[in-house]
Amino acid sequence: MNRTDISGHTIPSAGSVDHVKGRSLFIDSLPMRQDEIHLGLIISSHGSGLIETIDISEIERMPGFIAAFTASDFVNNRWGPVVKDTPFLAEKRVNYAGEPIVLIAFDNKNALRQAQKKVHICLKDETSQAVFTIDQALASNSFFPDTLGISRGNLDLGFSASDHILEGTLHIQGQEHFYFETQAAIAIPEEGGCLKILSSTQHPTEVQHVCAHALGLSFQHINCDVNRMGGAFGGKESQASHIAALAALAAHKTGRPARLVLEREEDMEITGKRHGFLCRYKVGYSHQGKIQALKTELFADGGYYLDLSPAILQRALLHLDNCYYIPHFDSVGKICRTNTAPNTAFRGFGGPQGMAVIENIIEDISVKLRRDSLAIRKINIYGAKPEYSHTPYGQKLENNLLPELFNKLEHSAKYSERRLSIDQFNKENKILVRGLALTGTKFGISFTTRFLNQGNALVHVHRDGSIQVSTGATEMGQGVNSKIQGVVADAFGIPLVKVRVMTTSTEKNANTSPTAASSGSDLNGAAALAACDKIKERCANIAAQWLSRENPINTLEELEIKPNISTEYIVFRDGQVIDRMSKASMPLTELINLCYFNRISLSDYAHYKFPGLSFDARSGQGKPFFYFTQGAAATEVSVDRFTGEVKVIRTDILMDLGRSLNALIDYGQVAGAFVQGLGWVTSEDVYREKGKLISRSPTTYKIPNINDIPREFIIDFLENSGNQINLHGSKAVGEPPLPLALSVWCAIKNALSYIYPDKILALPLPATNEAIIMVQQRSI
Amino acid sequence: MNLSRFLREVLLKSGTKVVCEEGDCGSCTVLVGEPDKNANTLNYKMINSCIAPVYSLDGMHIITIEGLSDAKELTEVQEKIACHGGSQCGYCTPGIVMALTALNENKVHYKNEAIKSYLTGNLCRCTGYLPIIESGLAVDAAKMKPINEIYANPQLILDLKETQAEPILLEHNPITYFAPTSLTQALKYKAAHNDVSVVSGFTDIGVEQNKKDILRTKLLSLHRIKGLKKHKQVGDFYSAGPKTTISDIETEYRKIFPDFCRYLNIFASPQIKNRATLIGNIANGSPISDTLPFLYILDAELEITSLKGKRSAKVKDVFKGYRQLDLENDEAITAVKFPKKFEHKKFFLYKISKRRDLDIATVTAAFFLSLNKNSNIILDLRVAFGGIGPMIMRFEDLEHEAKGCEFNNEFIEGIINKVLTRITPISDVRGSREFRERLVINLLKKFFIEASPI
Repeated sequence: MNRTDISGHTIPSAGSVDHVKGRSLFIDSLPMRQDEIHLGLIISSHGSGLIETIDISEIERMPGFIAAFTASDFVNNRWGPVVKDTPFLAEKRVNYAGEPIVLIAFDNKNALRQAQKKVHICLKDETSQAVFTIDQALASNSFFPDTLGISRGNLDLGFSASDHILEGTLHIQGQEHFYFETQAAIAIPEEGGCLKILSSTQHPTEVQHVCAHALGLSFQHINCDVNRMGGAFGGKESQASHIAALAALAAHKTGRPARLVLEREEDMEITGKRHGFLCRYKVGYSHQGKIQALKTELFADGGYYLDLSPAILQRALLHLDNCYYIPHFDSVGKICRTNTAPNTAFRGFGGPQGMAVIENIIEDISVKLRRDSLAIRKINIYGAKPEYSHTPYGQKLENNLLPELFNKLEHSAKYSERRLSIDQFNKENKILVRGLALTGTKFGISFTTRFLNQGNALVHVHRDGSIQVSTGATEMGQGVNSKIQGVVADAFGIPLVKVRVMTTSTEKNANTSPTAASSGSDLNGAAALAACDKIKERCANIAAQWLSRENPINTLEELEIKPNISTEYIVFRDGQVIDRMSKASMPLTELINLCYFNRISLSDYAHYKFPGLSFDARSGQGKPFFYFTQGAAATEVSVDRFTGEVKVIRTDILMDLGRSLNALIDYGQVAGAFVQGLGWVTSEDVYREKGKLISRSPTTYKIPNINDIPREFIIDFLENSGNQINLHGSKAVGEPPLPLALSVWCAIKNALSYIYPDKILALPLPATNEAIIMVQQRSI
Repeated sequence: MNLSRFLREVLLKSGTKVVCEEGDCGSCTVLVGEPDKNANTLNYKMINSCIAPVYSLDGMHIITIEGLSDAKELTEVQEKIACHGGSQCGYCTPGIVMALTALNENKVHYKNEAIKSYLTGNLCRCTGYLPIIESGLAVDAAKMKPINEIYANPQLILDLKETQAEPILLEHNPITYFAPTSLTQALKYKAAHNDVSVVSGFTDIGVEQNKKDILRTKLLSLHRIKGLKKHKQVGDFYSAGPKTTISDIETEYRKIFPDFCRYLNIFASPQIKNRATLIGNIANGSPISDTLPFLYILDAELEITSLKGKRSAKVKDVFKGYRQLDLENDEAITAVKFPKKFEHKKFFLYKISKRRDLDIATVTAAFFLSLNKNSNIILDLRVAFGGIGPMIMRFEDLEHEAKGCEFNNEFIEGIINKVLTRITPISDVRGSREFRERLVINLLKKFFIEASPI
């Protein structure tokens, strides 16, 4: 596969040279300022309790002590991305184990580490009345108020027209982000009571707003600046603001720069995770396996505070259908309130959980009908018939490539041949059992909250021909800086090295949206391109005049933008500006200087929004998505019948990414998303005891390592150069491939079906070796 | 203070990253060089700097990411990672660069399996590893400059050799670290203090200090004692000393106990195996130890030395409770002895964990079987489990009863039932009690299938 960017470059992506030399500037790589203070948190040891006393007397006497803060030190102690319900520091009570209670400041890190153990908090333990799981929440009716739903058709009609009915429950666990750089922020006091916040956040605008609100300042007083994150995956979309506000408080109160960098365990205990879900379903289908009707109830584990849960539940509902047309459809979703950290955005944002439900159902139908699950998928797939064209929420699938993706992958992965050899293998092998599954992804691109679908960009062209571009996009390793760099370099026809993508800061780009929902490059890249086009249009106007001049232009007479000049034939290519009609050309740098001396602006700002979005969350109908990114994966696994150990033998992935902006980056996004999903569906087990997180470090929480990835791992992109929608015909890539890891989980189910050909095994997700062994025990 | 904090907080070299501070992710990987015994060079191997106290690296040459190349230049490994998408967010990258550089230092070819093996201890959350493997495969070893060439300095090697020959006594309130050059001094010290911890690679104690808030104050290391060989043969035994790391065992015993060495593949990361010693692993006495079930059924022995002399004890007999060893105050373990009679024999060794590599076991098991030729009659059966109670368990009475029985399904069901009545597994983050019980049943069944003659 060709792995170049749109200009055909294969040079290192932006930042990677610094990465390999270890000199990239993460928050905690920045040297301490002379008067900078170190911050640390004291967090709740219990899942629920009343705060009786907080005793800091011991640490006050320690050398290096600067200050200690509690909830009352904030002007406004509550924040939240949707509803301001989350305390920065616990007030009268704690509602989850890990909830921050006290913030302490020391002038050196060693003393801080010691002091964190010496703050004594007396809690009245109320864990016996607490709710820690979805099941407990259902039993005690502990919900947030929101109820969401999507429906179409007539369920009764659908079920009565079905040959078979199947009911079941699927348990889906959450997932820890495990970004390598923990949550971190530095707050620096500036003149006039203002603050500069350096934050590891996907959402500098929210950091700005949250810090201002917390301290009773106005937004203008805060500037948030983001250089890069050491991974985020959604975990720094909303919750980075919490950490930043704590640093802001300390800096504001002490007048000294203040640094808060969470320890690994703290980070895992304090911050929320991917939402666990419980889904009850009833499905009606024909003898062939065509799904006629589907009724689902989704329960998402929101944790104790709301965070982004409604939008996440919404996206889960919008992805329940995944790639399959379901004529009669009814789904409702509720958010459980549990005494755990507020669950939050995580790559996929509820989408993967919704897709898991339908992929699970299809595997079960396959067992019931004794038909290959791929055959069932193919008769249900959007586009299998012309009338299979609209989603349950009423959006028409434009340019649907699912049938092509499935067919091509079935062929290239040699699905049928391998099915036969697996049948044979499983007859002979007494230790291992193999399974195979081909699943798809149809991931909706857009924030379902319409107003978030906007981006802006600021471009400065400098007189030496180099360019600085700033947008609202934050770099977290996903390569958005490289993509924007490529778009700008391509627009001006100059080498990549001439374009620098600047840090993301609220003083350059205000009212931005989080870099999330896979839309970072789409929104901000398009805005950058629009800003470039504005500058280019002015430059081209001057160039057209200059290149077509017949007599030497009177240098005393100033050139101006003339509305009647045609710039149609002016192109920017290879550092030159060329009139394609006359073939006359000039170096771009010369034109830039010409513009400057003639007082033509060489900077511009542009705004971009996804067109045509309209979705009514209340009715569950409309067009929430600008477009869909689609793909498919075929995975073969082997499962040890005795130990439950899973090996992924081979995975083939085929994605439609339109015209890739940077194929090397997209390839890495697909591989990375898939393996992150692989962890979610197999080994990543969020384990709590009485609400307290026990799996809180890599010793106890197992993300995939290098030997866990498919032994054979083949990633390819569909040739789709005709794609017209979106920036340069590209498609968003961050989240869509993650749910393809469901092919692993489905392959495990398929393997188990060889041992229990007549039984539906209620395999939970993740399918840990324990889950695989114990689900068999329960079925006997 | 551990090396990674020293690098970042004292020397202000922030290239080395800290992610877990417990040796489980590899982001803090650095290379440490020690003088070669024979040649005038340094041998570099990778370790986790986050669990290595600075004082434990006395006499070693430490190479961090900053030390691989000058400000502008990229090494071959760095260039390939940058150009093949092997780095996304960049946080694990310095560790990955160090690990991939270690291949060349150890003269290992950049092939798929070797790359994966060297990166077993380096987690990455962004790339899905595939682009990292492809970066490694693209490395042209001919373009790699060995670290011995980058830092060609004969005087440095002489200095390190000199330093390494000296004893260490470091007293920094509240810690005393003593690494004498004679065994007598070591034993005297141990006899004089009743709270001495004998340490070696700090792979467990480093984690304790960082994460469990346990500070051991009197540390005694045997690594500078002259005459304690890594490997020797004594009578009916192969013997490994206190300096013998797990990596050394993998190399030296590859042909002698192939099943054990293959099994050590999933013991831990190379960074840990380069530091952790077999004796340290035994003395740690974990009830879910990876090595103990094998050593139990092997009837491996420990050489235990005191000022009064030496004694031998079988590994299976030295444990008297949860992490409790039957050792006197003045005694130290000076060798592990592997009986030669089991050389080249087939063992069935199992480690079940949530993730195959780089994980702590849920249950471990070791089996040995010898059948009468041309029949299924048991001559010798050995069974040991870990993770099923406060100590490793070997079932010697059942083994004894098994002699002369036919190795069939009924027999194995009988063993299962008897074993189940004795084990007392707990539920924890690594697995429920029910799962552990089921694993005991299933591992015996799996062993039965794998060990049965076809």
